[in-house]
Amino acid sequence: MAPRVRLYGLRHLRDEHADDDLAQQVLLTTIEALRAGRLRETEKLASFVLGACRMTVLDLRRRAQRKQQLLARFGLDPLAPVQASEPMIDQDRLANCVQNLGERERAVIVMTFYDEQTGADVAGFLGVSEVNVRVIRHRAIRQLRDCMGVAV
Amino acid sequence: MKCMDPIDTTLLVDYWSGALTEQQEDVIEVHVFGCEECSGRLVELGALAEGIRKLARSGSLRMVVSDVFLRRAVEAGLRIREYSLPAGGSVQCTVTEDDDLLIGRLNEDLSAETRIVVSLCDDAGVERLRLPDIPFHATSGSVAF
Repeated sequence: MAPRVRLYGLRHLRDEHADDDLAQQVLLTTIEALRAGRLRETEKLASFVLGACRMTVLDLRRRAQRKQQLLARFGLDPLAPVQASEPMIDQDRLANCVQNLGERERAVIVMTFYDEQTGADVAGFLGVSEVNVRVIRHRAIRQLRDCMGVAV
Repeated sequence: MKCMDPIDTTLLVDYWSGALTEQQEDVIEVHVFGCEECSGRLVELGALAEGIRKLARSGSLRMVVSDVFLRRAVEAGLRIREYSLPAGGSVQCTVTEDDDLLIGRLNEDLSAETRIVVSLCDDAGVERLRLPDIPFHATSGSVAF
């Protein structure tokens, strides 16, 4: 279940360190519930963990907002992370795979995952329809999947 | 365990890129938290997406970029050195180790163009990189790469 929690955190927080905080808090909450006998039916584990993820993300966002306010006020970050998480993917291989995509495929992939632009924005930049953007993006993901040997 | 109703990859990409409604996200998340196969696929998609973000941040991709890309790079603290080229012109470039991204911007009336090929050559005029059929917006008046 831990990888799913981390995945949820990465998707909603877009930050590896906040993701670590989320995983720790959710797992502690879950263990606490199990030990206290509040979670007896194992088939309800997934929905309990998902609920804990949602609540914790809201809490972390509130804390991040508070932290930003304090940083803006005092201008320093005593809680700055010192070490990044281990990379999950071979970056050199990925660089080759991305570079081998067609120009449009590469642009769509980067605009989607780095710029986080909507399909409409990407379509506007490329001068094509949103349907075409989805087709190009799907083709690019398939090529990357085959090139990287992953099971997306 | 094999999933009997796997989530379509396009839908997973939409989920990861935040293109779904809250209700659609809820449906995906409930499925993913209860499904080993689909959560595994989403883990790999997430790793791909993060890898691409890191590549873009590191400036190691040679590609045409949007103004939004450049704005985000500045917000992320990257140092950008940009050279603007007039049509038919040339410019002397300097790159230092402090530069994160080197951007060349071609300024030209593109309204009548249907296809652009970027060719990068060395000092002797030998082509080292070709970007065929690059994406561009005809009304923008420039292409950044």
